[in-house]
Amino acid sequence: MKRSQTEPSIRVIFAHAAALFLVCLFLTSYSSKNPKVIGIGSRIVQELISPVQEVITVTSSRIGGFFDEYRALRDAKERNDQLLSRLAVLEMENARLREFENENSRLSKFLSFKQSSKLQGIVGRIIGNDAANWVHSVVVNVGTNDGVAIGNPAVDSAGSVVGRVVAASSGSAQVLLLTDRASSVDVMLQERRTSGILSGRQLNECELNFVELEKEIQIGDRVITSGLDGIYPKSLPVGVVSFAEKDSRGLFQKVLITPHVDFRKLEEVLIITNVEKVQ
Amino acid sequence: MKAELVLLTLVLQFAVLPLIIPDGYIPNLSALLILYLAFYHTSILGVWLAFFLGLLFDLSAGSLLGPSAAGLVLAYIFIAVLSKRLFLDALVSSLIFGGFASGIVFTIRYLLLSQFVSLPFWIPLIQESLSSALFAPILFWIFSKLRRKNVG
Repeated sequence: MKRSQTEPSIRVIFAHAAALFLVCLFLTSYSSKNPKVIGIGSRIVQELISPVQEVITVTSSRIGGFFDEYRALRDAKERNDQLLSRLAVLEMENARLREFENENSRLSKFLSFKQSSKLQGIVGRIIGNDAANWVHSVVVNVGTNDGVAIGNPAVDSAGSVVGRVVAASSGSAQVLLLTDRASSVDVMLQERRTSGILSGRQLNECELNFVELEKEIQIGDRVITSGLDGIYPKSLPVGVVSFAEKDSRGLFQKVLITPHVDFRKLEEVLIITNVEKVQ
Repeated sequence: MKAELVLLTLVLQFAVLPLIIPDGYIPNLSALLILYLAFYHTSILGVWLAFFLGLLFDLSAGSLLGPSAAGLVLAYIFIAVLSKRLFLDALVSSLIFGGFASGIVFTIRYLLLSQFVSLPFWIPLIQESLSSALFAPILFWIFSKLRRKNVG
């Protein structure tokens, strides 16, 4: 950069500077003795500066506010994502705890049934259904290692008959359900003491066979085990009569029974292991 | 053109920098402006400008009237003498002279103020000189742009 071509003599500038320097010394001395002078001047300068400062402050605070809001929104989004994932975890946890609660409730019923009766056994969780559609059976997670043997009856938490064990391995057992055609249980009507053989017919329906024509049966009659088959203990609830018909051409009545157990909702069964002792 | 430089310096010095730079590290832009004018526009008006800028500085500081004005006037004449032998265009020289000018103004102001009140010297001197030195290349670049724009 080139310097100005019309520069005055340095001596003249120096003279001005010296004079002004002396003025400065005087002002310093004077203002030290008269502070009011500087007070008034300061106020005037402050009055001049403050509007500019205010504009800058407002502008910078708005810019800062915009970025603060942006940061807050970004933080809120991150927080929201964290909370959503936390919520998903807690929902899973909640579902698991509810499942535990339900299981606890069902197992408590089993325990209550065991305590109220003389029966002993082990609770097995249903881990599978029979793969073949024409066989009504379930697989439970207890086996011979747990004391389960072939022929052991299985009941639900209320003590209603579910079926009997037809196969058992060390860690699991197959329970043939009451509704299977191969199933047969010696039962009787609780009030009338009329006996018959119950066999499976289809899911949630059984047939009571060998009931003589002269026996009186009404819909709603309760059916319990008779204990005569040597498999099921006496007086276990089985179901209720849902249909009864006397066919004069036959020797026996046609009687249909609806089991107490809802086999579609069954999750655990109690395998009774001390049938002989009870009988 | 000088009016633009002065206005820009005043706005930056008294309104902008105090809001964005922490206390103690605010550069002395008045000293940098005086340095620039002493180098490129050596004149009697420059001395008077230094004087009034100094007074304004003192008034805004609210202490005594005169110390900063004395510092700027002396700095102006000192740099005006040196400007015959030195150049300010390079980055390093603007850094050094920026810090130097600020240091002169600070020292004279201190010498006058310390006659009346007890003040620390070295740490504030280093802080102000360093920040002024760092700010000098930026400010001189802006001044040059303004000057070229006015010439053009």
